[in-house]
Amino acid sequence: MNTAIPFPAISDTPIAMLPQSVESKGHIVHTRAIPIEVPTWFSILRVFLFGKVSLGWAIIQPLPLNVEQEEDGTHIVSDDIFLVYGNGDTQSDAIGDYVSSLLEFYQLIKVGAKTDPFDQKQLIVLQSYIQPL
Amino acid sequence: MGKLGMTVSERDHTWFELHLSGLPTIRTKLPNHKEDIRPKLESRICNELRIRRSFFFGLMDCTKYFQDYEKQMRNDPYPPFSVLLV
Repeated sequence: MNTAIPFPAISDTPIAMLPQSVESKGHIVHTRAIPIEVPTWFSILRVFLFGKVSLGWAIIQPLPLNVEQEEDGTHIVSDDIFLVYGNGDTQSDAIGDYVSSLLEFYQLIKVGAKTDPFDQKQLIVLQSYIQPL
Repeated sequence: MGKLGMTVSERDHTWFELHLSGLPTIRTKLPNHKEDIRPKLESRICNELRIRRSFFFGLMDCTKYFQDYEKQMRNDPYPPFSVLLV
């Protein structure tokens, strides 16, 4: 009876290579290169924004941000809490645009919170991260 | 954004808001630069609109309309609204 486990299909251009053989306790274990598909999230850099971010505004608890780069070299900075993003030619430009967008978002939520119970809840969350100095 | 009947709020960025009864207000903005919107930026706009990219393409291709969007928001917003309201 053939109990061999078949290898998965192998492409012509493997991304990761394993050594052809590995010696272990006197036994030779033969290995083969298997392509690994790198997920898109792998290219996301995680940073934290904290402290004074703009004239009169400060982030009072570290706000996790995602930094990504498009194929054309431009950068995108975003968060997973408020879903705000900023973009720019450089990381610094993108963070600046993100901060500007977050402050505008804050103002929109503050106006909405006068009548909208969802915005009232969101304003509380926002104020746990960002406060006027 | 006009297809969804979003209201415009001009600041440094142009923001769009949509109020649907009983749901949190949906807000998104357009990037300031005039270049084409690239895939990763597109994904961030989809996040703000709480739709998957396939639905976004449907809106762009005129195979999805406001009624579809409202139904999507009430039944399967992605990411879900609860992410914001923890």
